[in-house]
Amino acid sequence: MNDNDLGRLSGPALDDALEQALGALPPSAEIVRAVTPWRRAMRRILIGFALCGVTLNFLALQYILPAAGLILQLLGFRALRREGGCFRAGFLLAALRLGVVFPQLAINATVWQQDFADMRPAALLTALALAAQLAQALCLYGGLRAVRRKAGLRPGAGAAAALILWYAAIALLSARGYSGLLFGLPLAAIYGLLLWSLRRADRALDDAGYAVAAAPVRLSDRALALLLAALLLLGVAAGYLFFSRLPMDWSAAPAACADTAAVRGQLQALGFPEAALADLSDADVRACRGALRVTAVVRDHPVNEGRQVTTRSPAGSVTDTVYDRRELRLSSVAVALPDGRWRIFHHFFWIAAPGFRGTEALQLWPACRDGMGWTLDGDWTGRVLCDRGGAALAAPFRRLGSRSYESGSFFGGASAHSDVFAEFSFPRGAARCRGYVAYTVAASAPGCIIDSWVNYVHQRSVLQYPVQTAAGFRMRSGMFASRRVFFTVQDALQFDPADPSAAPLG
Amino acid sequence: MDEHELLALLRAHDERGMRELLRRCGPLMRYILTPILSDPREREECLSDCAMRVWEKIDRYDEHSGSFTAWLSAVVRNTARNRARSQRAAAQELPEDYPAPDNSPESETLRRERAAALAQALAALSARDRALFYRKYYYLQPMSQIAAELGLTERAAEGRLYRLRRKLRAALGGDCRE
Repeated sequence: MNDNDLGRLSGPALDDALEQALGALPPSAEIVRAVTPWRRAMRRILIGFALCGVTLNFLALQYILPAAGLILQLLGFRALRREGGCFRAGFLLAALRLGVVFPQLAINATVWQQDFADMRPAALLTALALAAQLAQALCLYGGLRAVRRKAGLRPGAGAAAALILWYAAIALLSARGYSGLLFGLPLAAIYGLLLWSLRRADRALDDAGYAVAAAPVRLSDRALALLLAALLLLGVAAGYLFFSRLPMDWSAAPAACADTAAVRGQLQALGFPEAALADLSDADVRACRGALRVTAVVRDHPVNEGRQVTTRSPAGSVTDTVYDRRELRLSSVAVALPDGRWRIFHHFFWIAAPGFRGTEALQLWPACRDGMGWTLDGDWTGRVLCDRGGAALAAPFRRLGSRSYESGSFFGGASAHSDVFAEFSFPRGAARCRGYVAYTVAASAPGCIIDSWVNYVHQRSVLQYPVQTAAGFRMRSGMFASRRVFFTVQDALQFDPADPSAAPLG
Repeated sequence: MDEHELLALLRAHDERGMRELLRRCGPLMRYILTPILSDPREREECLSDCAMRVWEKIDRYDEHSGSFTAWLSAVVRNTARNRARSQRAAAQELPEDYPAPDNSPESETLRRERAAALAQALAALSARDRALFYRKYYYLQPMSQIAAELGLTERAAEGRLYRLRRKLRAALGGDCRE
């Protein structure tokens, strides 16, 4: 018979022949190592711990690695779940952590992530996930001891016990809000050492590991991992697709009331920009009844990087940024009221389509901020408008009002701020996107100029994780933030109200 | 005690070596025995047999030819398989014309040829497939155990083994179809 002899057999005859022939081919050390009920599961658990404990803050690895680690821990503990209560508890805790962390990762892809993160249940869930991680280390410790005992070895799992202490230290530091390097670096080094010791202990347990029996599964490891990854990706994709814009209460824009026509005409005659005037609500127009004077500044701003143009001359070369398109028109208008107060409007109008439609925000540094000589009189008002399908739509801002926040300061640390934010989104397919914010100030000190600033923050890309709203970006990113996702346009209305003939500054 | 010390004790026929062998390698030996011998009492007897064989044949083990665990696995597997076979033979009343084991030079040559062809075909497989193959045909593990240890459903494990067998048959010059 030749080499083809085995190839010609089939069914049970082939099985018998293979079994017999293999008797003459003892397994290599590689195969002996691979045939074990223990190593695969244990390696997954340890890699899972390693991935959940590291934080690499780039390329979203701080989210991807722990998510992969959670899945590996689930698979590892699942295989050993019939080997005593500790491993079973480890499996249940892994499932619990997945149930807590994965929805949070999906929420991170929505505009609600910051609101959710600021809520008390989110803090409780995070604490729960951390406690579950600590408990899992405890389960690992108990499980390793049980396996050693079952194999007739002296129970002991020092590295796992140290891992529990390490997680306890992390939980303590986390509860105290510690984020410095003084403890962080030594803890990271200790963590590496612990995992290395655990790996060694795992190798030492290889012989004892033959005493465990892997639990059968109804869904293969690969299918389960793929299912979990797919669920997570679907959740994240759904977040980006359906919850990347703020929900707005759009309705047909009401026509201007006839009784405001006279005030509108008067404001226009005083120099109120016509396009901005047309967008004011009747209430805001009525608030300007008897207007004495209007001071307005209208500027078109680019919402792009422009192009660099170098001009050479005998004195040298000069590089300027040239903007071929100016997409956003900002109009800042102050209306002098008969009782000495001023009503100030910051209006915006997208001359060209805004491009990506995510979240938008107006951040005001109003004339009534501390020490500027003016006080706020009344509420913040305003609305957003757009045209869609030939119909004019209007909506109140999703949120409008003063917000207190902390942001990184230029000199390090955090500084406290309180600014006025108007948050909104435009619907897909909308044209002539526009809106305004208005407020009234009264003089609290003589001789002060009116100095009112507006920052328009536009989201230009969906590529951010976790998702921030335009306002959230302004509040958290500080003054030197990247323009990759959000682009800020700044404008101001500055003039001396005591000098009717003076033109606005700037 | 590390492996070298264990081997030294076994080679010196020191009883501490036997105790250490059973303490240290007992779980592995039972793991190999379990799928081959279903009766727990048989398994324990066979475990003793295996330990005795190791005790007697330890001088044949050459550290340069492979790991001790691999050698031990082979001893345990073959001892258990022989025991299982003799049990089966004892349980069945063989007919008078039942063929005796063929130990002729021709069949020995055939066995060698088969082993060589199989070794060549196995070398072409991935490490994962090779391990699966050994689980099934060397360690004689039931499909339920293979599936559980590989994190597969039994159906998926059977499917993988089926594809592997087809691949092997093709590599051995046979028809891919079964």
